[in-house]
Amino acid sequence: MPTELLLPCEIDMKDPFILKILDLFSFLFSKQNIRYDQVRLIMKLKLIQDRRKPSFAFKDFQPAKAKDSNMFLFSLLFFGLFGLMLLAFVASLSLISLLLGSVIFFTILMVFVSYAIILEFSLDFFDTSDQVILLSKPVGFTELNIAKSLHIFLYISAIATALALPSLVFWAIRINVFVSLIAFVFVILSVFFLLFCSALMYGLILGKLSGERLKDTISMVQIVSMIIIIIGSQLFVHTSMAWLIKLDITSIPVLLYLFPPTWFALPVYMVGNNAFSLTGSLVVLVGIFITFLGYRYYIYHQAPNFEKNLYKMRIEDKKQINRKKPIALKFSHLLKNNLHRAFYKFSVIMLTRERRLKMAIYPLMAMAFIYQAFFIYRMVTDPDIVIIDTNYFFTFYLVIAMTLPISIYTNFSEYCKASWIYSYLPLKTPNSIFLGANASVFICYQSVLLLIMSLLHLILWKFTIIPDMIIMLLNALIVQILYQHLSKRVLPFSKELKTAHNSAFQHFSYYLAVFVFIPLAFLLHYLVHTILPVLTIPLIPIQIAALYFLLKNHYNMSWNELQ
Amino acid sequence: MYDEPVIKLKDIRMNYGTEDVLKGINLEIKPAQIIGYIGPNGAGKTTTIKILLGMINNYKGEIEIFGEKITPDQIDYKKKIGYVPEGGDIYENLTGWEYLEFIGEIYEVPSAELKLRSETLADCFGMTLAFNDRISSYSKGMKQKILIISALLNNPEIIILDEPLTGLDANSVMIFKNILIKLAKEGKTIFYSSHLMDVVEKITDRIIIIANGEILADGTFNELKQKSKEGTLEKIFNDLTGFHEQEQIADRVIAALRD
Repeated sequence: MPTELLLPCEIDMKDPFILKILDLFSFLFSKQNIRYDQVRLIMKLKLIQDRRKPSFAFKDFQPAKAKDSNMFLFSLLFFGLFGLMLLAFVASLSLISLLLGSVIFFTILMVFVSYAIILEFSLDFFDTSDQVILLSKPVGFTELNIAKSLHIFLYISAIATALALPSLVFWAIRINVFVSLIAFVFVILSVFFLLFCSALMYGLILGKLSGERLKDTISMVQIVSMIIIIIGSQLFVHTSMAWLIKLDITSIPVLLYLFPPTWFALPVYMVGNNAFSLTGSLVVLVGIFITFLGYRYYIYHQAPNFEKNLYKMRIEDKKQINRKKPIALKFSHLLKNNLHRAFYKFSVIMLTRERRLKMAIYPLMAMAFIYQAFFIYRMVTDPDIVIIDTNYFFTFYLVIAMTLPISIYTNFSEYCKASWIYSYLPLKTPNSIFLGANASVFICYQSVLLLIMSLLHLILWKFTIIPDMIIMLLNALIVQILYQHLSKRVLPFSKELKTAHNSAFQHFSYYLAVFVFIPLAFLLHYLVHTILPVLTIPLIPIQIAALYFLLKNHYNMSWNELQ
Repeated sequence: MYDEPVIKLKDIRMNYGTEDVLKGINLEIKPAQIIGYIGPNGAGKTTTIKILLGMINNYKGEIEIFGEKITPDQIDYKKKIGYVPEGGDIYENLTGWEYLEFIGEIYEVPSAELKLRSETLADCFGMTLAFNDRISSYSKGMKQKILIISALLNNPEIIILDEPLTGLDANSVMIFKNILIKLAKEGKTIFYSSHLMDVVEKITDRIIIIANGEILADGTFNELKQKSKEGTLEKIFNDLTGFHEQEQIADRVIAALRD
């Protein structure tokens, strides 16, 4: 009997499992006159592409198999670990009140998911790479947009599930499986809700604006959304906690009803405690209704227009975009080596002009700034705290941790295919390339944030902490170099920035830096400050020497290390 | 003039996994020649070029450029080479001038010379008005012109071209062909890889036909014509690569569409 042979078109084109689940909901699409077969086909294409992402620089040296999907699994593992931390909150609060436990669970979950959407998935909404290929075929705008949104939805659902799983297991054991199933359904519903909110927000901006103003507004909206989420969630947790202290769990404050996490948390409480109430049910229904309205609006108005309007992202107002040179270019004269200077200038231009990179970097910077500013604001407004007498300036180490992942964005570019140039140029080592890129990301973004925040701290502590601030800034540099040294070497602007495959949060080196290097640097600094303050000034030259040694070591790489 | 071969390839072999892409390429190229390097898709043309440029190192065999054996850590020879790649990928966030300045600085072209050369070449290719616009606003042909100018900036001794005419308009093609002929007269060696037989036929001194990683023919156009008794380079190419099924394939396509 002849061996069964696969046709060329069948090799590795088998349906991803998730599509089989999606098939169960195909009737929803048909009802809205959406061609499910097209949506499915585009989804399949996207999922298969995710499995095979090559890096363009040195692609001749690399096997075609991509490792990025493993990196996503790695990040899921970390979300699972965060989920365990969340479990600690949820479990302890659920024992007091299931309502409070579930409300806090949904608040933290929705904050995480919102961050994931803003920090990692915003770019995907505005991705136009499929348009030329797919829209020139008989594929509808609506079908393409729905497939794109579903693709994002799958990734975010995976993150949300990893985060929720420990708490869901806890509820299943503590109460019953049905409660945790209900909780899971509402976790997915909350992801839908947040996704529709983001899609609607972006759709609205896309409909009204174009060109550079559109791109600026998107960045602005992302930053404002982060501020709203941070302040809103803090306010919400405070209200919930105040309510808990009163132990008046028979009546829920009306304010809590206005917060979306309550809409999704109430069903868990009502089913778990068998505490159905008219108000509670109405709130849940309102939540479901709002999500449903978002869905209807998305399907009928947004999906068909979103892809049509995406061309506005490409409109370039020459006068506006050529108006000025990045200020960071002026620092190029500090570099004496011609090659270092050439790559520094090149990287500054790439980093400051590429919108997709800026859309990824700005929210990260905003998050670092807002968190610390909010923390300082609370200290300043607390009448019991005389800020100058405190050691709270050590929280600056959190700013260092949050500025760290910005440097990874030098790896990416919309024009990553142009990275063939590196292997053709007459360069003995890739050191100049990396030095230029790292210096540029530091000068353009990281130093701006570090300097603003250090100035803010210095003013608040009336300039009494200048040596400590110098130590912290030097530690920021040391940790940055260590982090880069341990990260996989990727040539600058040589990878495609796409769906949840790329952020620093998926790299082990980031967690090593955040959970080992920064705490160690903090601990050493704290001990010197509190126990041996006389060593504060001598610590600075030691740090400078360490930094010099690290820099020399780091920029001593060969081409072979990249292959 | 230096009359020794500027490029020598000795038994160059290369494989991607189990697939042999180059099966022993032997070549000697003398200066001031325009070499046409032609072959069907997947013949090994771009791989040969990438090996010459040090972009691929895991090959077998020996390469000599300007009489010196090339090893992976050697890069000085690259300073005398200009390259126009296939595909036209370029960092489009930069303006035309910024890209040329970047390349020129890496090749250590003195800044005044770099500016003058860039401006003159941009003017010759009709790019002056768009010189300070971002490359992302350029047409395909304009991007190709920037790549061509960047390959000439360092006044290279060897110019390697991989489908350099992609996207260029008819006038630019004529200008470029004339530039190549004059560069060869100046003593530059031009290695021209293309599918466009008529251009190769008209401007090259020597034609090398490669298929399945092997050189099938090597000689002037007239020499190849005598060997195959065919009239045009296209027909010689078909004859040498043993490809005569074009009509049957066209019939199959039409039949498949009718079914």
